[in-house]
Amino acid sequence: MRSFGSAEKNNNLSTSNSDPMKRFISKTIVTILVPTLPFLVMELLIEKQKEGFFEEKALEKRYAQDANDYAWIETLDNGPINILAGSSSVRYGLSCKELNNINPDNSSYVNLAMDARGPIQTYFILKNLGLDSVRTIYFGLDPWIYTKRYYRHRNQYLYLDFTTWECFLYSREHDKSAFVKRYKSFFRYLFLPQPAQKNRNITTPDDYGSSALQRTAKNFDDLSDWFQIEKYGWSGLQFEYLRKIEKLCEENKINFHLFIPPKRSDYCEYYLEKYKAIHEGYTSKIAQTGIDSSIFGRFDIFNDHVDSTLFAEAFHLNKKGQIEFSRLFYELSLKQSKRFTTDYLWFAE
Amino acid sequence: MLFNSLDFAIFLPIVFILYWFISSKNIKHQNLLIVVASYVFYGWWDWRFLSLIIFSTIVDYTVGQKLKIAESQSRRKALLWTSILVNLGFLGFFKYYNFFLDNFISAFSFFGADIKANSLNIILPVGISFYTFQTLSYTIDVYRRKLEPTKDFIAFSAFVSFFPQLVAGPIERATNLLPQFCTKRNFDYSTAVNGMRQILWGLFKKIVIADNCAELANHIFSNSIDYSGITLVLGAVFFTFQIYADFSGYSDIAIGTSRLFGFNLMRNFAFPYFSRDIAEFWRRWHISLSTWFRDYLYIPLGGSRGGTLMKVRNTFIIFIVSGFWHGANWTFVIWGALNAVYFLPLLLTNKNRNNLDIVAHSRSLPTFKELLSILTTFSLTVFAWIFFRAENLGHALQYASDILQHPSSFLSFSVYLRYKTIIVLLGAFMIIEWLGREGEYALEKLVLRWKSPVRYTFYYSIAYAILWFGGKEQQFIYFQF
Repeated sequence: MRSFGSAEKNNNLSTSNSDPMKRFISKTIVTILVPTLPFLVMELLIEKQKEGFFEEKALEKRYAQDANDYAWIETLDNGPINILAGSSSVRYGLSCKELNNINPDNSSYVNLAMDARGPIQTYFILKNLGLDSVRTIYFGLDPWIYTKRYYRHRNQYLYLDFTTWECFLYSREHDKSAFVKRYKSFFRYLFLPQPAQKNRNITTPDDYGSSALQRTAKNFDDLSDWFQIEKYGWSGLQFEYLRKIEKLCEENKINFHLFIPPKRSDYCEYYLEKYKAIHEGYTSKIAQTGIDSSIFGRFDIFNDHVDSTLFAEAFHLNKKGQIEFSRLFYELSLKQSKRFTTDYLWFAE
Repeated sequence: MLFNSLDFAIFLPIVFILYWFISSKNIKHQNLLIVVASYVFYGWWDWRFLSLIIFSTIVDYTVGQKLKIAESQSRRKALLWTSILVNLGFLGFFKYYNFFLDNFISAFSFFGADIKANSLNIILPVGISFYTFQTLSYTIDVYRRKLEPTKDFIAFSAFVSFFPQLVAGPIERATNLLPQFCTKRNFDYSTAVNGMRQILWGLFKKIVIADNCAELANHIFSNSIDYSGITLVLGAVFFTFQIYADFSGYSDIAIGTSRLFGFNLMRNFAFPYFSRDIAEFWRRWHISLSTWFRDYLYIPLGGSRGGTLMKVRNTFIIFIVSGFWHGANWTFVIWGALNAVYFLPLLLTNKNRNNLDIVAHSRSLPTFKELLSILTTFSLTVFAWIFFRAENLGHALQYASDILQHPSSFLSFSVYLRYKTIIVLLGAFMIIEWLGREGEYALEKLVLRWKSPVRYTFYYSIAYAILWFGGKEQQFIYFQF
């Protein structure tokens, strides 16, 4: 029979453990420190320099060239210009041709919205464009655009806006190369003054930058959580630059209006159920910037229709929906008079 | 607490330092620390179920003490059955209650009887199948007089709840682990380094191989009707690697962690996918469970002694029970039965102990015959895993039959291209496993042949791969069993 004594009989443990133990601990620490030291140094440097990354001058270096994609706007000579700006829901949601047809005066609409585009990039495009003939800017609001979670769809320079922990989580969950991109951006900030010069695009695109969605947009294919505010937080920069767009308009005597592009009814229900608190946080963030522009539109504006026939998927209108919304947008834009407040109704009561 | 979590990365060094620096003067203090740490580790998931572990500990400790003084065989038997009924009672209730209830209702409704009974919303306590079998091994060994019961309640509690192997094994034998709690532990540098190395390899298996395979396998199994034959085969292969890397990765981390505390746990996996026949596979897969069933079920049933019918019966019993141990679903039963069908021809022709040595021992490559045997065994295993992974029997059969449809898809290069990253990772993983197959785990002997700079470059590459290729965090599969 296997036998063994009780613990009391063997309670005189060897005290000569300390030397191999010290060796083990010191070697473990060194083994871990060797690869993590450069990482720690980089993170410390980034933390120290953080203020400088997001000064307007530094950001402008990253984005100024993007205005060259819209040089064609400066070549338009048929009267005042109305700019539609925002992200994909504006790009696919409004047709400039349709708006130009409806519009009785001599002004024309152009669309400089793009997939996942946020206020930062929009601001620098506007700033570097000749705004002399611009009469009005309509800016479409989509809440998720203002999250850090959305940085994957942006200039990788914004990865510098993450804390180390956020970047670690982000690299695990969304972008394995998050740290590589962050360090590349840091070196660019330090050593490369400006991105390469982009050619000026003077060819006016069909439908003046609007686009009808023929297939599912790549960034939005399910109802997954795009906010993840508890993990990554809001992007303070995006809110700041939304306000800067408003100021830029004031300085150039341009009308500035906010609007809400529509969403399909299933998403509206999902949003109302899941993101109520986040939505309140979002609107109060906008309010905190001091924005005081007029606002119109609702997420559920098409919910009375059989809205599945108007949407390509939950967030983007299809060709038919684009025409419908362009007409509705025009009517609403004539009537708009409400100022932005946190109480503004994004959904019908 | 998961081994691949930040919580554990903080927990482990704290316990390690307390163990070796604060409580190292007294073995009782060390054992007490292990008990407390183990309860924290388990309670991190759900503290309510700690009561089950504590209750099992008290029952088996008491039964052990009473067995020591019991003389009459009938009293000893009664004590043994008390322990078996309590332990298997908990296991049966938490794991199998709804399964039996649903099947009874189905069976009666088949004969026209309408029985109304509500299923219970029961949470399966993590690791219940593992620690139940571990404590049972103690009582049975004491009953068989193979082991003297311990008087030390703290040491016994530490044996039942030892955190590295509490929730997913290896299922330790009391004869191996319990004495280690009663003898002094000296810190040994090379053992600790070996432990760290094994933890690193376990994390690589879990985070890089298992988690990445899991994402693909889950997607393919969930949408199997949309996929062609070759994708379904790949889905089954991904699951084959997922379950191996997940479970053996967990075992590596458990064994490696135990080494840090001066404990030596039994080996749980021995490169099973290099097996040349199914009998060898079962000697190399989940060794702690296979040997448990062998010693406490197969041999008492008569084992391979007796006539052919007896052999067939015992083989089916042990494989089906083993399948059922994994979960309350007919898919596990069929998986077990399928393995019995694979195993029987070898047993009946006395070829079940043909391949006892390491494949291609002291050679770099296998012979053609060995390679063919390995591939055949692997294919049979992959096929059996379909039943293990499927949601239900209908799904498993549908999945298996769909594989044979559209055979032209097997030539579709684009399918392989779609999964190129994971295929490359699996290739690299299997090469390392092959090169290290003579060690207890792949890196054990392999890296010691290399010079320090190469060795450390390799370690850092693995760490880098864990960070770079790490899949979405998934729970260890065997937690659910």
